[in-house]
Amino acid sequence: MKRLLILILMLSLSSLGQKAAIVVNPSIKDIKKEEIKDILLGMKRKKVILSKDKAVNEIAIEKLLGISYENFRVYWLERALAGEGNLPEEMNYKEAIREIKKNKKAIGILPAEKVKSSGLKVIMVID
Amino acid sequence: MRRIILILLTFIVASFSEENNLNLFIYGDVRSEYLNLEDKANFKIGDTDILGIFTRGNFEVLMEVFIEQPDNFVDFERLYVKWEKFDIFRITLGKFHPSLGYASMKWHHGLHLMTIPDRPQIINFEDEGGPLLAHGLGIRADGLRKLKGIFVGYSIDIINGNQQFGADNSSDFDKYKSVVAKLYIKPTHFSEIGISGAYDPTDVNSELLNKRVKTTNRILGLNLVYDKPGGTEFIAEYYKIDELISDKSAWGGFILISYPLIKGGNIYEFRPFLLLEKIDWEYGNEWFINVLERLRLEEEQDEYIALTKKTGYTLGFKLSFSPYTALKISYTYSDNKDIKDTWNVKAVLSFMIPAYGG
Repeated sequence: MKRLLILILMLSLSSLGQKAAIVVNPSIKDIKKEEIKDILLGMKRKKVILSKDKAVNEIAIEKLLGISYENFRVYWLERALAGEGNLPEEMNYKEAIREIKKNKKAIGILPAEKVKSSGLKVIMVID
Repeated sequence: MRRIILILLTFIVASFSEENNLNLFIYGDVRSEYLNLEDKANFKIGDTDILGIFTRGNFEVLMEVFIEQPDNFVDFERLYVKWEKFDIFRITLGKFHPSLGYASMKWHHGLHLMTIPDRPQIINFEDEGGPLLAHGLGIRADGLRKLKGIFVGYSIDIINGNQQFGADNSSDFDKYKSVVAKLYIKPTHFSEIGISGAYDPTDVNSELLNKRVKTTNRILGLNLVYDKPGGTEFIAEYYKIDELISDKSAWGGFILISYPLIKGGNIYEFRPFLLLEKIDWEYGNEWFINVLERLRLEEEQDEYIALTKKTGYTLGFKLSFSPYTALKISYTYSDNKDIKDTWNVKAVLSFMIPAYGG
């Protein structure tokens, strides 16, 4: 029981210091905050890649869009099934870095500490 | 059925490539309804909807298969391929929801995602008496562009005749094509002001003349929307339908307002709603007479009643236990002109299963 509590405490502490990075292909010029919102909400078509780490997505979506990550998922579900693009994909950071490097139309929300030396362009860091 | 399974398998196999993105969902509901006119309460298995969306590069394929009760009738409600290299110009080929209003384009047979248990009559599906074009088989060009901070969008469809009389899921019965178009702006990400219209000629059987006659519906629609995920939902739509040959018209619309009063805790969301709706047909409209006759023959009695002149008031709530399951309860009072007023109570337990991806 004590071990379980310590594990839960460690997991909680690790998520407290989380920072989310908005990253794109290195060949892309700067993107303004408003344009990132447009892309995340599907108004401008890009491939949106989310982190497998839900806490990272929550930080970025809530700060940038003012809605919860769960509501963001429902928004995309409704949008996709109405025929307005597909749902953003959740990937681990290694897959995501690989995908964004080869796809100029991709934008990702990833853990900030994982993309420091990835070669991707960091547009914004959110904590 | 075999064809549908084959398509589903193709979808899943195609998703194995890293570049592909496939999501597959199953929607359904079980419900109980009390209708005062019939003085009976029913338990029903609702319809089941299988929705798949597949994207790769600039192409998107959407498939919606609907299993309708009570006969387990299987139908492709939507099936299309979209090419979307540019935001300003996209092409869609196949069967889709025509570009009329907001709700009719957003909602589908997966009723779980809607706040209300069923669609307002003016935008109901064709086989349930809806007078507008809810499904169309043809081609669409659409696009969206940001101009001075506001998104401006358009959509133009050329489709087979309407599915009341002009066409079915796979072919046209008459020589006409219907044209549907929509122009809209999005002042914010979650709001929309739109104007839409349709020119919809169809041959119908005239009871008066005892022969087939041409009818032409000209539809004008307006919509005003604020629909924030997890927040306020306000959808107002108005439609005017002019039958140009008999010079008889109709109008209708609805206003839906909902707001999440409780979020989190033991439940996901508690969202009360209010729906006001109106539908009013001018007598002597040849097209409308045939809609009523068809519904009578198909014994869609509820819809037959609903389609006459009426004003409906619905009050209820959607209690979501999670994004995947919800209980919807509603009370509707209909102020009817031609028959006595009616009311009903509905309790619907709806669900969504993310079958793949999601």
